[in-house]
Amino acid sequence: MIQFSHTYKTYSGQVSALKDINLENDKGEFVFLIGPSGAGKTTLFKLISAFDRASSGDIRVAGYDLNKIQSREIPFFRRRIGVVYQDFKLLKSRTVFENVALPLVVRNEKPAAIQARVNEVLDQVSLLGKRTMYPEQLSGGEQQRVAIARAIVPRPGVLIADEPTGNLDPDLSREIMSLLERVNAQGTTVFVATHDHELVKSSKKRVVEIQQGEIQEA
Amino acid sequence: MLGDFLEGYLRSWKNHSVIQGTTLVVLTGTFFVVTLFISIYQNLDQVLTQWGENVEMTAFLSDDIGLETLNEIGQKIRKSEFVRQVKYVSKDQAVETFLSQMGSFAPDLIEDKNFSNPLPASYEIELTENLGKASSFEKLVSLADFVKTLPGVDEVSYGQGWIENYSSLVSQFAKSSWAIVVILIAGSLLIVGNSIRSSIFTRRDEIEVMELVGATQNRIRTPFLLEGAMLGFSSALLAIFMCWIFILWQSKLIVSELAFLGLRGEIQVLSVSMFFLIPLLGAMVGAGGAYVCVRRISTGWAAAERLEQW
Repeated sequence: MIQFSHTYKTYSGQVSALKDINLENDKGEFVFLIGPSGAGKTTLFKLISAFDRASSGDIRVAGYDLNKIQSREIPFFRRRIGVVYQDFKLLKSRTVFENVALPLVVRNEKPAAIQARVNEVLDQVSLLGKRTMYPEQLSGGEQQRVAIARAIVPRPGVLIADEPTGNLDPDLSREIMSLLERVNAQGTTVFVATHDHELVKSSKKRVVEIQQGEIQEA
Repeated sequence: MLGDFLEGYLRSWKNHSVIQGTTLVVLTGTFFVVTLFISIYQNLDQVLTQWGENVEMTAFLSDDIGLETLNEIGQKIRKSEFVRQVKYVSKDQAVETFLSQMGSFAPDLIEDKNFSNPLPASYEIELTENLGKASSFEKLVSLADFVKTLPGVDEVSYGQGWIENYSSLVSQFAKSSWAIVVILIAGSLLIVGNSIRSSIFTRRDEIEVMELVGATQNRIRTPFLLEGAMLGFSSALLAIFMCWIFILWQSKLIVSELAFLGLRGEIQVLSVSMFFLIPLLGAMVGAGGAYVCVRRISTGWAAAERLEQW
């Protein structure tokens, strides 16, 4: 589902963010990517979500060869993956329902289908009762659940989450991890970047460590 | 998508009301000038058309031509597509008309038994409609040149001087207006571009999220293009309305001050086609100005991040 082969990412000034990355995540797998700040986790996730290009090497995600992908294909590739960020990236001017519905709206799905699917997902993340509220009226944990709901609403094959618990306290972090595990149990490949070692230890999933831009299986 | 556009448009007004308002005012001013130029040109051209309806060409004939040549000249003139009617005026008719018109100023002339007729016979040529328009002036000249080449025609007169001068004035006005309009429209593109740029900056978070969830380039760019088009369209409509008020306000003065032009008390604000074309031009200028900025967003790779560098 996610495959890196001898992938390098070098920024201008010859700063190597990623060096010879070789990694393979199978379909339906749950993988943690751990490492300290600046180790290259976010860069790796930017490459997976086609927000940046690799300098060399191959990346294949959800059937797309990201080295050969055309700019006009990128939106259609992004529809195959779900992305969750530490800072949620919710639209403040839109309600919970509207935020979650966005991926379906851009696909021009019918309003009735959108209504049904969004309600189903909001129920799954226990936010159905807050569907008409705005993000700023919600707690950090609830906002992250909205972000996860938005990521999973189009039923993506891959869900990547970059520090999804970074801004949350331990209880809320566990709650979010439990939600991600439930998503994974439905067959979605989940790839989570975190520096919270305690959270990783307690979940007993596959762990990939990144140090100074290089991968080391833990 | 329409809902997204309206919401974004209202948000741009809310967050950048000063920039949006200034843009609307400046664009309205620009289109007011454009509309006024077009209106002035149309009215000047209309004057020429009104005059043109009364333009007559006279072909003065040699004294020594025979009846056959006379008829031949008449037939050749009648064949021209620009000629409605041809009337022969003999030397005697010419002098009779002259004396009846001028007699009261020079009574001695009527009583002068030795008066010898100096006036030539002529063909009075009535032209088809609209040949007096600035754009048709060349046709008028070519018809005169043709008539002049006919054997037996001494001279052709059609008030060349004033038509030529007026037509030249109208055409010079049109050329100068075009130059000014092009400069104003180029400025409008920049003004709209600046407004859309601020709108994009305000909504950069939304653009990033839209990219994240797989919105296509068109889906992301279209609301901004519509916003530019809306600004241009509403400015042009406002400008037409203001121009209409201005011309109504000034029309009596213009008609009385410029009575010699024969405006017949009718000042046209805009032709029907221009009433539709100017708002369309406004929308196109607005969308064009927006496109200058919009083509830099949602280009695929890390597009949203580049917005931070604006």
